Amino acid sequence: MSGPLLATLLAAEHAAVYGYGLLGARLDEADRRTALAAFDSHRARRDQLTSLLRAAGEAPQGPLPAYDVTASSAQQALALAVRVEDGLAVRWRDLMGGTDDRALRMLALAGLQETAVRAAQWRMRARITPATVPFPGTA
Amino acid sequence: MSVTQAVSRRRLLAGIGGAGASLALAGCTSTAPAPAPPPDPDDLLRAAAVAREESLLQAYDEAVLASPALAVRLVLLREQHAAHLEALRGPPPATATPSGAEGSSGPGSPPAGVATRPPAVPGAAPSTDATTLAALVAAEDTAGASHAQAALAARGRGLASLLAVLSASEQSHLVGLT
Repeated sequence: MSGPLLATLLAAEHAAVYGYGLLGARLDEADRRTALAAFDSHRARRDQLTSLLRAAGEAPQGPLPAYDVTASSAQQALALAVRVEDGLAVRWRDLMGGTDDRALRMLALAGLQETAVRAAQWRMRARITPATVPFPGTA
Repeated sequence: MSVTQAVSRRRLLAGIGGAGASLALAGCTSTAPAPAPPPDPDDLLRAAAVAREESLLQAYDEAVLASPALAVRLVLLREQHAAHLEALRGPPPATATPSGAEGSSGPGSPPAGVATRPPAVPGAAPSTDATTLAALVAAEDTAGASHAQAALAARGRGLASLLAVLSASEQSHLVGLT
């Protein structure tokens, strides 16, 4: 069953939405635009996962009231963005390795690709070298 | 049972019982070759992914030769493809052989000829480097898409997961190339 994997992903997307809401304010104009696009993307995945869980007859969980994350500088905000994307990549990979369902595999693949790309973009903005990793989603 | 006996008995049984009887006999003599098992589709997917990574490694080697100014950047990405190749081939042996092949083109030993290369004509180099990068972008993009298709087709979840990870890695390489 992929229900628990989807529920874990949903929880992670809630946290990502919260994280981006927090970190965007610490970034300069160009980075904030990128953060806003990432925020929208995570919200879309969150809604998609919520619908999938409902369709499977499960009760999707809402977000926590708050998350233990802070970003008081641009550098910390970039580091948090990297962490958010790297963490999501692990969850998408878990889903990929935990289902034979083609539609879920396509979703997992898309999630893994977009988080890997965004993580690389944020590492580049944070001047972390190398910006890419050989095995995204591998903790 | 002697070989002669086996053969004559096989002829007899094949004549009477057809393919079923000769198959049954093949199980109890060593003279009949076992039929080749059909190839595991996942093995074919894995082999195709290995070929893609090998051709990416070659593309990076050629790119470093064509655009030495990009070497520092490209070598980091090339190393990740070498890691992909190792992962596709299974757990690396204690003395990994691929690292030997890397030595000739690794960061420590730039290809001979680079140092003696005439100074680049200003204005000419950027277009060459841009061409090099564009070729790598295309190669990564194609390999990433093929890995993704293979990830969806794989029967084994481990292979599906690995191919998805490699696809995501190739996609992220585009960030480093543009």
